[in-house]
Amino acid sequence: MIRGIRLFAIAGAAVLSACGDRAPEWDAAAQEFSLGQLRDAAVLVDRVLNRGLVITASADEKLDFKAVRLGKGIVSTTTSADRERTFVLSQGDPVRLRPSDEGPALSVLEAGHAAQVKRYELPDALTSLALDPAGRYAVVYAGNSAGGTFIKNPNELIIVDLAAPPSQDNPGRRNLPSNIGGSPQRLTFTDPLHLPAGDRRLLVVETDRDVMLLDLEHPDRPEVSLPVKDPRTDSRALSPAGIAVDPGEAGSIRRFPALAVRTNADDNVIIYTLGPSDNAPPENDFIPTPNAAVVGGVPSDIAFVNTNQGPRLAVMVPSSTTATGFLIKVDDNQTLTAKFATTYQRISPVAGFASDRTGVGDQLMLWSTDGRTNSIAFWDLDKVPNIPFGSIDTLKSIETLNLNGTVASVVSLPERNLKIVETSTSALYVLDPEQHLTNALSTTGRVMLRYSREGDRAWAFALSQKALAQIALVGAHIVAVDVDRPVSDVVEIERSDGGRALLALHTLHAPIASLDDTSAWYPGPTVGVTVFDALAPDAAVSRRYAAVLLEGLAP
Amino acid sequence: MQRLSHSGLLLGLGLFAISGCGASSESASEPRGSGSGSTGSGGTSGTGGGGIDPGPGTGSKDAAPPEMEVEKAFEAPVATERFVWATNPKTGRVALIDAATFQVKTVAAGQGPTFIAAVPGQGDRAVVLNVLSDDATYLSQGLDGTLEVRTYAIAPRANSWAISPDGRWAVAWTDVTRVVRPDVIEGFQQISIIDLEDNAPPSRVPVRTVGFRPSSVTFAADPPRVFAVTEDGITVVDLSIARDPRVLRTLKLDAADPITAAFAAPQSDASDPDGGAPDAAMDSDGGGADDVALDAADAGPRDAEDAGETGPTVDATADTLLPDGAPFDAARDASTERDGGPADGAVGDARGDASIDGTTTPPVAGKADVSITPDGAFAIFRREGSAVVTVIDLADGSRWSWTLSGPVTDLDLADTGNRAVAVVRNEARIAVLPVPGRGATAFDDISVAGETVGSVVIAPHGELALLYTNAVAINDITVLGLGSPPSHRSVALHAPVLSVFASPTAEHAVVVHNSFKGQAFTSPGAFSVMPLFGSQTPVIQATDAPVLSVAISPAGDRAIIPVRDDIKKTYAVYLARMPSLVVDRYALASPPTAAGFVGSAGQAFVAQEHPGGRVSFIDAASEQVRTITGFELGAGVVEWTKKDGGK
Repeated sequence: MIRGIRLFAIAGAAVLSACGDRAPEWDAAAQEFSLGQLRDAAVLVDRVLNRGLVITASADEKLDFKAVRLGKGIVSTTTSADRERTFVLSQGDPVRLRPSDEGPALSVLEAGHAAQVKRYELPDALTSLALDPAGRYAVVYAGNSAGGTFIKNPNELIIVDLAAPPSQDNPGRRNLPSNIGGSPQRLTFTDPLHLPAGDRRLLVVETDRDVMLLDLEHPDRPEVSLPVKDPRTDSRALSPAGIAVDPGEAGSIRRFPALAVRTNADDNVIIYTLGPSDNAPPENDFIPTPNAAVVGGVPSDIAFVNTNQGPRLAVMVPSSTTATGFLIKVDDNQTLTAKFATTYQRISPVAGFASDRTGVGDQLMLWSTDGRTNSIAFWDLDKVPNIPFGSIDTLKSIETLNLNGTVASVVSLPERNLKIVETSTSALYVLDPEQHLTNALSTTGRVMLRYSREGDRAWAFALSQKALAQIALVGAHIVAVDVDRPVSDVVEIERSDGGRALLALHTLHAPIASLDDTSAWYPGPTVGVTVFDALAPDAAVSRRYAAVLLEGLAP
Repeated sequence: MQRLSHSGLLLGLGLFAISGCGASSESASEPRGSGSGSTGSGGTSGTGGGGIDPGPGTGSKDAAPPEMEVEKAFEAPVATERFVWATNPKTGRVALIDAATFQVKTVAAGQGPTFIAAVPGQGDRAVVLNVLSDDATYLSQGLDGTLEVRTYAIAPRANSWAISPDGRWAVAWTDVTRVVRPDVIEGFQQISIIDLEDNAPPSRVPVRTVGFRPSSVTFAADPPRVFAVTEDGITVVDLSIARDPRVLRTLKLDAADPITAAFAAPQSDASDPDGGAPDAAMDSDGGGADDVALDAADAGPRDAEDAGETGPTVDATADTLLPDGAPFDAARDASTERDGGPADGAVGDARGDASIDGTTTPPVAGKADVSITPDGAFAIFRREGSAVVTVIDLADGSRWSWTLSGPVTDLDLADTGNRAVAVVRNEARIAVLPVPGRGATAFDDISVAGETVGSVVIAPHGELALLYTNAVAINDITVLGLGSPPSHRSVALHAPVLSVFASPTAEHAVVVHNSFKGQAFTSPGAFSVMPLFGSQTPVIQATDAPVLSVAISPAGDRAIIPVRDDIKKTYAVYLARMPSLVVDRYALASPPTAAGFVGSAGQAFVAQEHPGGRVSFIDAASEQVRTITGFELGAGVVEWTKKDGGK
């Protein structure tokens, strides 16, 4: 109570002293913010005040707050998977009448020096953002998001080279050509492909009717359109529904990079092999040639995998009651099939796909979130028979794990090769497929999970409830953490002393996911933070920061 | 033996040994000898071991069915120096698949492009027949990537190509065997002659008429001639005036009187209603050979009377001598065929019979098996059931014949054009005939007693002949050296022979085996790779589906053998290496339709049935298989150049 009175008095004095000549932000209430989760900082992005509050931690659960200026008209906050960068996309002033009025921009906050914001001015107010997992590029494009200008060119890509400072040429602008009127839907940055003239990465753009390849490292090289149907004989409105990429084998003429495309309605998977070209720069050094593989139904997922017989394209084709898995040899369409008694829709290589790992079969996790499937399965691809065509005996290669409820979500933690499965009945399963370990965790209700950057622990909390726990993912050891405020979110960051701090955020209302699901917005005028030692969470030594958006006004 | 006549097939399959590089022969539209009931004298069957009961009549060669012509059924892939060409009648486009980069491009042809042929010579060129628009499209892929396209209006209903070996002439004609249920009066006598070197061709190329139902078309370079083998005879067309080819004559194959050639006046465009010269299309009697015969009196450069009076055409039986000088007559064989009499002995008996029969007119029965020498100077032919082999001088129609010891079951002309080999199965005798052998000069008559041979394939270069039978289950093949004197040896195989394909280098052969409906062996198919020299034994390979075709690389170092079983859905291709004779199998995802080699590197390819088009390439060096599916899809790949907005 005493603390509240003091806070009120200080705030009142501040208000009175600021009368007459203060920034308009002082008159605006912070109504909602989004969260950026850098490796060593949390960023509260206030889209009303157009700023970010960078929170860093030090020993003894102490926090440091720095406000940074961001662009006006913030539409999304996105953090890269490695938590090295947080991207804030803004549209600028809606009406720019003065030179000082802002245009659209991409603000980048980087771990280690988050307070030094890089601001890339954008030529257009586009609303979707695609991030390069390798951290080199960010692409801003129209996508399907609402907002932005009243008329947009969906084929315009604004490509930001994150390794270079903002300049006249950075970001660059690229307008995708199209002979069939497609518009980009999904962007994928490939791993380095073993292309004929050297290893390079490509940007794969799935439009609503074809696929395009862009060589981002050579902007002068032309884009390549890959059709998904023959427009002369096929009147169906086919659109890409997913891709898979095989980087190929380094230095080999036997295995070139390949791109597989599945569509929304066709029973073929089209595999484009990127073979060598006679063309000299600035032409592309590869030629895509198609090979279609019939799989007898519309695939729900595709992935390149390794088997003991060599690399294959795995395809899952569900039916109403069963599913069929296909292993297709890209070069010559040799196809093995496996019948599954359950309608699995998704396939995920447990350890990812390593194109240079030959002769050893991957393990595939089969799962589905169709609301009907209460099991997952592991398909051992190290026992694939050496036959060109035929069926695989699933009894010998499939291991099924029955769950308490249908699968609601599956999260992969590549750092530890763990899978976290959540069921519709709020049960949690921590799977370690390599060790053949499955730890079941029961909950009393829906829980949210956040993961440490290293993937060795998770933080579970019940949204807007006083419930928080640490889960050691190896062994599924649970440590309950006492907290006396409802938790809206948690974020684990590195402390300046090398330790780890867990920041539990407290807001008045639950967060709301953005329309494009790229960020969550936390409504409410203020936010509090409770800081724990993430390696040894103990409420007794935690520290509470209230009203952090008031930047030190609170004690 | 009938021979493949499509030059595209020669390029694609590498079946040079069979085709004789420019030599051509008539194609039968039905199984040879059907209804004739081949009979003859003596001998035993099943020599060489491994024989099985061929059915009723075992023990008598007379009871053996006629030799089968199997190569004709093999479809030809179309390949040029670098590209594989595929037509898509549905879209009206032709796809070019670059065998080096696997890049696909398509080009619009006419309506319903269906029948395509490669044009030999430098570069990558092809012509395609557009069956719905009755025109033809010529496509020439330049080294700089440009594609030249020309369109020619041609006579309707053409379904076959004949391309001259020098790549200058393309003749579109109608092969009745490709026509579904043709009326008996449909003669398909129009051929369209395209001069591919004419860069400003007329909108409608010259159309000329030939004899009734042509079965093959072939060329000679000097003087430029095209020869159409028809049911009426051989129609000779002079190409000296490229835009106005002239029909010189139609030479009857069988002439009972000295006037054996019916010469025609030069014929104007058959499609031209104003005609000028006698016009087949306007003739009320249906045109064809009768027309040209009626015109004979108008005389061409040489007319029938000239030929009859001065040419060396002779009575077939009276002037024909056997090597030992004894006159011989085939008529007895003909009569025994009619009688269906039993076998009556060995070779000596058959030759002794020659003096018995005094009939002098060769029988005009049975399908003709016609070959034309590469220089176009002579035609040599036999008829089923006949012992007579006749050579016709195509310049003047004169002819001379040999009458052999019995019905000739096969006749092959060497690609050199200087010799032919005739097989008399009933007598186990082989005749090596000099060509032209004017005046029926002496020939080598070889007895292969103890062996059963009814078919012959002369290997390229004309130094070696392969003799076998596919009428009965004999596990042997005879290799006949055509030197002087000829020598032969029998090579034991492990299964009966269906067909034989000699490599272009004449060093190896691929033998496709006949299971005789599972009686000889139980595998669905089999083939052997056989060295033609040395002591290495043939290697037999069982296949899990019947053999579809055989193609041998131009270098003769590999053979590709697709197999196909639509019921079991077993599709594969076997790659045989020579001289190691090692065979590898590659499974295919879809039914193969044709196979061959493309380019100077000899990359093997297998075309397969697929709605979007599918071809698999097997790299010569790495043996890596690359399959391309969806030619239109591949052609739809667009690389957007900055200057022209896409290419």
